[in-house]
Amino acid sequence: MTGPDPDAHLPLKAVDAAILIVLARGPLHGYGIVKAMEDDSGGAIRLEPGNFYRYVRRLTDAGLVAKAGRAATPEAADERRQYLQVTRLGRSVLAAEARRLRALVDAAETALEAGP
Amino acid sequence: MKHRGWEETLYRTLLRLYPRRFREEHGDDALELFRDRLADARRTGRRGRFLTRAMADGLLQGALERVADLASWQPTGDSALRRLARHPGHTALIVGVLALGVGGCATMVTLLRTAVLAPLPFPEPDRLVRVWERNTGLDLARQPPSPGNFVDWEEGLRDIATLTAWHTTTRTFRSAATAEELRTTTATDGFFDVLGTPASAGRAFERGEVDRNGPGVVLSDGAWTRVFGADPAVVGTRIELNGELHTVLGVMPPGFAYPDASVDIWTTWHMATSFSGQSEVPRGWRFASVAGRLAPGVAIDDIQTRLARLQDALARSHPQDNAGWSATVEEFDRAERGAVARPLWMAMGAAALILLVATVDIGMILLARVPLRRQEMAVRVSMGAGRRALVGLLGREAALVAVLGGTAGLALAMALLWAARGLIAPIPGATGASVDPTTAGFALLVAAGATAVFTIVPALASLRVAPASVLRSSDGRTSGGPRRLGDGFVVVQTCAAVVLLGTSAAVATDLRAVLDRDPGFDPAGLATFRISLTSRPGPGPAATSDYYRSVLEAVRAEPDVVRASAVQTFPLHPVSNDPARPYRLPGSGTPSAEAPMAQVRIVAGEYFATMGTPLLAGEGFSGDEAPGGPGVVVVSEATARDLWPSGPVVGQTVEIDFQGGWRPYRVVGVVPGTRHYGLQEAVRAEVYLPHAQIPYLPMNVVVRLDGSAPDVGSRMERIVRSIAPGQPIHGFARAEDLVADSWARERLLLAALGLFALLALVLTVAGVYGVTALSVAQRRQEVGIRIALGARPDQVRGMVLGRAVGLALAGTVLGGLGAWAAAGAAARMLPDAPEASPWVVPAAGVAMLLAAVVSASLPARRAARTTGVALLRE
Repeated sequence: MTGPDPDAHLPLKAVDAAILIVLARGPLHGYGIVKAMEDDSGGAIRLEPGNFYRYVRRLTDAGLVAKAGRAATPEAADERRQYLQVTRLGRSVLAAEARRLRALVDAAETALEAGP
Repeated sequence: MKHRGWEETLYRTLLRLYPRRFREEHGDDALELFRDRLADARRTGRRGRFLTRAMADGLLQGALERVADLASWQPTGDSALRRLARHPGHTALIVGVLALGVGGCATMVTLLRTAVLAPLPFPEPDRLVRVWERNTGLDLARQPPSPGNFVDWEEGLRDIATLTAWHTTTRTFRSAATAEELRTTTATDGFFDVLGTPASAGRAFERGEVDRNGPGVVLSDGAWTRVFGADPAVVGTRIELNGELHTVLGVMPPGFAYPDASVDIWTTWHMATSFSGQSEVPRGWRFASVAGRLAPGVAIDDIQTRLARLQDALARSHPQDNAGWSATVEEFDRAERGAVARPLWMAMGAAALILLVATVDIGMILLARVPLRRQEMAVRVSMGAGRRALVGLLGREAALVAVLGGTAGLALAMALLWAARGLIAPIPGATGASVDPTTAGFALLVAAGATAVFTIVPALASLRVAPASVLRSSDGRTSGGPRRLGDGFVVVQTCAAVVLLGTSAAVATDLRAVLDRDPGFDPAGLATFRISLTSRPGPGPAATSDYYRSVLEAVRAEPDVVRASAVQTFPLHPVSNDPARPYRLPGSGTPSAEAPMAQVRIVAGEYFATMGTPLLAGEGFSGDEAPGGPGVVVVSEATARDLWPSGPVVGQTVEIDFQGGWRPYRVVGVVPGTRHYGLQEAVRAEVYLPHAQIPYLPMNVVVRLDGSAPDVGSRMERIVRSIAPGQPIHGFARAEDLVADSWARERLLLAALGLFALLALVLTVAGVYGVTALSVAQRRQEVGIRIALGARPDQVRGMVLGRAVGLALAGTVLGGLGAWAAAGAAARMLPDAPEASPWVVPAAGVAMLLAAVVSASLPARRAARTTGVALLRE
């Protein structure tokens, strides 16, 4: 059986990849994802709500991310937040992106070492 | 229930901009995220910053999501888009006109935000000031202060401000591998403390730098990369500048560019060592730039008062240099960016007028459709639609038009900024200006406001009519309201158009007059480069003149060099040493501080012939003036007239306080004044002295070329290095480029005004045509009856035309007054500009009226052809 082709989603945009990486660690709500991306990137990726949820909308449309139901969060126990999770396709796309980048790094290093 | 702040309410409203599908799917989550981030921002005290960013982002992303949504949309049912798509030409027209208005505004807002409104790149810029000297008696404002006065100010104001002084020249950097000229700002030890920017590697100057550590140098990021290969190990090493060793203290971060982006290095200016050959730090020699950082809580008035008192005392204690001189403090921002701000704000005003003209056009287009919509609305009401539902329906249409027009306007702004990048590049701080999210959000907001006013207001007006009466009337048309509104539109539009046309025509004529001025030399085919000798090239005082003589001979041997000579300061050249010194009649005994000043120019070789400057009287320099012999001088016309209002000038003697005090010089020639500082600047008094008698080390070589070979610069460098190996040249420039760069600001303003004026004309012609056509259509029955009663066609034509021209005339008169005021403000930007011709603004008004007549005549002819029979048939 053949599922959707992960390679069709490559290369990933930097922010798409960052969201998938955060979600690959486990389901998380919007605020948590934005904070984690900010920490992971040392402040380089800072998304405001409008922009962030457009990324989420595109990733959901592409089937890489799905809603995971509402749950209480440690920070705000009184309110239940919408959690997001990475889909199986999302995981394989992220893995394919990692393979692509690794190949790129190898090729670049070989070329630079052999260079003039 | 949880408390909801106004911020959240605002954001919730903003989310309505997003497509429904997005809102339903992610709206609540986005609002939650907004709430959490807002709480974070409150904790870190950055609420205002976060709100600006989040709102701008929300607006922009909402618009983008709408566009993305539209791209994947299929028309179904009674949606706003479907209704708009039913009239594609009409919708395209509104969107296009809106895009023109929004695009112009977004372009100017971007330029303003980048070059004027962005905070200065220094911490707490409000505490920064610039300090100038002023001499009202000699009519000199904003003069650079003298080092001697600076030393006293620094000491006397120490408790309320840190001051620094600097001047910018070049230094020759030599290493085993290279020799090159580096643009150098020589600054006192407080320089980096005042600006408040730390080094990115190593450190900047510290207090008492030279006393403690000897001469030091800080590199710009650009020079560190270009000259030292971005090697971090260079910090702490010693480098050779002008034959002296300097320790590299640190490297500044990439964005640091003060006093300007050309600076490669900052070296320490130690007043005591710098003037050790003189009895005291000079007071009468004004060439330093001075800035200061006020202590917290000190107001600009406080320092101004203290400084005035200090300078009064200095004028009393040193009358020979300071009598008549006072000191003024200016806000740093104003001093640095004031000259750029004025033309950009004027162009912004023009853009705002264009937006007005464009929105009025949109109003017209929609007004023309009111009768049709009135029927549509009446049908909807009679089918049970409530008032609220109708307003919602129109609101959605307006929002869609706004998003489309706003987005197209942003695209236009980006295209304009790209197309005008050549014009923008010489404007300090504006390079690389691009539309940012905040500007984009602003543009969309403006577009939304403009459409909302013009769709919803007329629609509401039409709703006041009872549906039955509208449906009963044959064509749904009613006279009165819309027509009066249309008349108002014509007045507003012609007024705005005449303001733009008149102002841009006045600026264009002013500028033309300025550009047509004789600069006093012929820039075509003229080029220059600088040799900054750091020491005499041989023994004896004649060695320097001999060196330049052999350089000029070698340069003249090039096949495409027609003439060659040298001067210590070339007109408009960025690197210059341009002293102004007092002069007087012999025997008058006027003290230096009260004598008028002349710019001193030291020249070698056939300078006037090379420049294309004619000798008006006398023979000029012979070329064999003896060093130490009797002084000779060539004076400019202005100097000559000032000294000897009548009678012969050549052969007279003038005294100049230059190099060792007052000395007599015999006049051997008179030349016209040069526009040394730009065509828009006033001519100053000038005196020329021969290099043989004043052997300056750094000089600009000037060559007149036959043709424009691209490799002149490198050939000149080879020639100079062949005479003295390791001597670099720098600052190669063609005189025509220097002249063009000198009026870059005015050129940008002219381009913007011209473009906007043209747009205004087109939009207004369309508007006048529209209003007249509308009014003719509405008055068909009246016209038909008049014709049936015996009115001749030319009477009908006259009636229609007369009304349109009358309205246009009212707008033109109002606009003419506005143009007069605006043109006056524009003229003040060219300080020495000739009085604007009085006919320019009236001519623009006449042009507008003619355009109005032409655009109204087509509908007027149509009205005249109306026959009663045709009407009866309807």
